Amino acid sequence: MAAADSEATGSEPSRRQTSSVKAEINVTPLVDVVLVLLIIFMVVAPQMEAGVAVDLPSILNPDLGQNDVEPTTLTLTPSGTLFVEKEEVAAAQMLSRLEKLHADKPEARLVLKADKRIEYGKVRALFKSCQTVGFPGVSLQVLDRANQKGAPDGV
Amino acid sequence: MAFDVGSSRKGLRPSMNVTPLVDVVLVLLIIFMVVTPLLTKQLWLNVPPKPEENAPPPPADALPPIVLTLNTAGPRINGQAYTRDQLPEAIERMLAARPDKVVFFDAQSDMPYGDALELIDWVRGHGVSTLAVLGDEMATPP
Repeated sequence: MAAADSEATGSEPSRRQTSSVKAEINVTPLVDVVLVLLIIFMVVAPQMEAGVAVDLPSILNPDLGQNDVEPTTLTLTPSGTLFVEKEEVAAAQMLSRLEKLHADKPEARLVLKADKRIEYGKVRALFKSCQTVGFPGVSLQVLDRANQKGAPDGV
Repeated sequence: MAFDVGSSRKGLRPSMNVTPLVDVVLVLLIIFMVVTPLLTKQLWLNVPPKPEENAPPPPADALPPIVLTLNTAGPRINGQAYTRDQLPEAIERMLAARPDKVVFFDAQSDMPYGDALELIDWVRGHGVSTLAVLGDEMATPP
């Protein structure tokens, strides 16, 4: 290292004399790019995963369009825990929570992310709550099986 | 050796050209950003409005609604068992006789949600566009 340094410093004056260019990495574009990456990730990361991660069912015929005007994501985990966005809500408080949601934003859409192994009865109870509150329907979050040919079938 | 000679002769510091690397990484990032939302789709299910307490009863000659249920033995329409392959034709025949094109769905409580959704997917793929889920249990164990 010391030898290399001395060689570099030794070669420095001769190069300065010939071309007067300083050998330095120009870090400005690198920093620019890294900052842009950081900002992109900051913007994208919250949108990448609405709600809590679950094992979604995959189907062949999902809806074609997705007119998302800030839907509210409900998550039903395999253990039966309910989440509104990322906040855990007890099953007993779900109805009042949905009523509040509906009162605040009557136009808002519900998106249900339910694990594919969960019992249908728990999903039905949630449908029942939506019916009681007055939501006209629920969007189920699913995976498009057409896009994932390698996925195991019949699960 | 040749490296030393080069550096002493031309005075160039070896530096990696990161620009193409960064270009590729950015392009990959954009590709993933575009593809990730495309993998998850949504499926709209209607939830019928809550029946009112003092609603008049439907006329006696009204057609009963089409209720598709699923239990561990298989799908049923209004209580009658069908195989999965017979379902689309049967539903189509029933829908043709009705002004409203709604099929109601329910599954047995301990069926996995994924299986229920698979049946919904199946009938949707065969021309049933308007599906509504029921809030009350209609499917009975076999």
